[in-house]
This record gives sequence, structure tokens and C-alpha cells, in this order.
Amino acid sequence: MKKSTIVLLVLAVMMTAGTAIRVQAQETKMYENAKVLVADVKTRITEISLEDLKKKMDAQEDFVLIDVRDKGEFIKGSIPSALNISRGLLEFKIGDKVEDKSKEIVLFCKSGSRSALATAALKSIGYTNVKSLAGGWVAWDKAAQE
Amino acid sequence: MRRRHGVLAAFLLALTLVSAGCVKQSADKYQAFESSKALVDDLLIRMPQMSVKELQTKLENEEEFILIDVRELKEFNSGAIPGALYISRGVLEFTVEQKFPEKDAEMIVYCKKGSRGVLAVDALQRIGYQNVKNLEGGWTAWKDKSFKDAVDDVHENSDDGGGC
Repeated sequence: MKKSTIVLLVLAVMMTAGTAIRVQAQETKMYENAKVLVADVKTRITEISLEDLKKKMDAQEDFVLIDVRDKGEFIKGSIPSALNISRGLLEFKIGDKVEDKSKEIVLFCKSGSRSALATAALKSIGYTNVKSLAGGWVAWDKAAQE
Repeated sequence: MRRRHGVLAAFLLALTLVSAGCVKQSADKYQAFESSKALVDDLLIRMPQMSVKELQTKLENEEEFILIDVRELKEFNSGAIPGALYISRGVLEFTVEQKFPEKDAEMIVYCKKGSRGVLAVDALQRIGYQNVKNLEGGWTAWKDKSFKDAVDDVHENSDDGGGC
């Protein structure tokens, strides 16, 4: 074989291998810790501010508000009209509560980390209009007490 | 010779297109699954799992590992595997990191039937825990096997003519 033919073949093999590695990397993206994971996820989801959520509620907009904290946290106090579906069960229970995958959903937790991950989880199973409340229940409760 | 180069160039072009297609398809797939079942099924392909029997042996041998029940508190309180620690899936990554900072710690995770456990193992793997397995069939499989074992024991004992 000519030198140029060999070069071309080597190039082809390298490209295939490169692609395989890229696919692999995409499927198992690793993070140093939960904080880094949450920070990265937050760049890929939409957050809603407390102010905007209140505006939506005041305008009686049609959306589903879900508290993704555990039940023990929920029963101690939550945002009015919120449903409780804990993050632990969310992907499995959401279909019973929200059939329309394009319906607007706002998720919240205690401070905004779990709900960010939960937003990404719902996006991964096809829900297209999901937001996470920045600051979560803590922000809501603080504003309510002021 | 020139013709052979032409064929190779075409081959290379085709390969590039197919490769690009693969990457795109994989990216899309990562983005959205049709349902939670499809997502779990996809993860199951590369999920390290442990059978109830293997877990029983580990427990009997008093091996050192961390057993985590990721169900809801109410489910845990109505019955769990002996020695299991309750950390709901909702707070899993945050709590595990706090309690077990060693990323090579051996962990076995279970839920009711195995689906939440699969997602939980994936979540822990993503933040660096490399020695995590899902209990196949979860609490349900454990309970069924324990019940069956208990029945077998009774039968064995009755063969001896013993009993209480």
C-alpha cells in the first residue's frame, strides 16, 4: 500500500475511536461532588425567581406547582396550592398528575438544589416547560415573614 | 491508485457522517426519553446490580458495606432490610456525600422494586461513587426470598421430625 493510503486508513480509525470516546463521555458525565453537579445542571435548566412565581400566582396563571421535598418537610409548611411529589418518586408519579408534557410546571425544594436536579430529570423524560424556583421554600418563607 | 484514493475518500466521508450522526443521536437520547421506564431501561444496560442472594451472603458474612434504602420514610418504616440506612432518593447525593465522603466505599442501594434504585445508583456514580450497586428487584424481591427461605426452613425442620 502507498504511504498516503496508510495515512488515510489510520486517520479513519482514529476518527472512529474518537467518536466512540465522545459518545461514552456524554453518557457518563462525572462531577467532583453534588455541588458541582448542581451548578452544571443549573446552566442547563430554567430557574424562576420568587418575584416571577408570585406574579404568576397573582395572575392565576395555569401551571402546576410541585413541592419535591419529602413529605415530612412538606407537611410542616409549603407554598399554597403546591402539590407534593417527592423527588424520590417524581419521574414515576408525574404522569398521574400531569399528562400533558408541554404543561408549565414549577418545582421547588428547600433551597433550590434538589429542584434543579428534578427539573433536569423531568426534562430527560420529555417535559418541555419545567422551571425550578430559585431559593426554594426558604426564599418564599423569608419573603412571607418580612 | 487514484481510483483507490477516491474510494477511500468516499469511505472516510461516509464514516464522518455516520460518526456525526451517532454523536447527535446519542446527545438527543440523553436529553429525552419517552418515559421514566425507557430511562430506567437504558440505565439498566450498564447498571451494576446485586441479587438478593448475593446480598444475603454478604450480610451473613458480616462484610463491611453500606446498605441504603432510598424509598420514602413511610415505606421504610413499614419494613426494611436489616441494617439498612434510610436516605430518601430526594436528598440522596447531598446526604451520602456528608455521611460517606470516601468515594470508593461499597454501597448497595435499594427501593421497592428496583427502578428508583437504578436512578439512585446513576446519581451516585455521577458524583464519583464508583462502588455502588442496585439490589435487583429491591425490597419486594428481598421480602419474597426471605419468606420463601423461611418456608423452606420449616419444611426442612419438619423432615427431621422436629419443630416447636
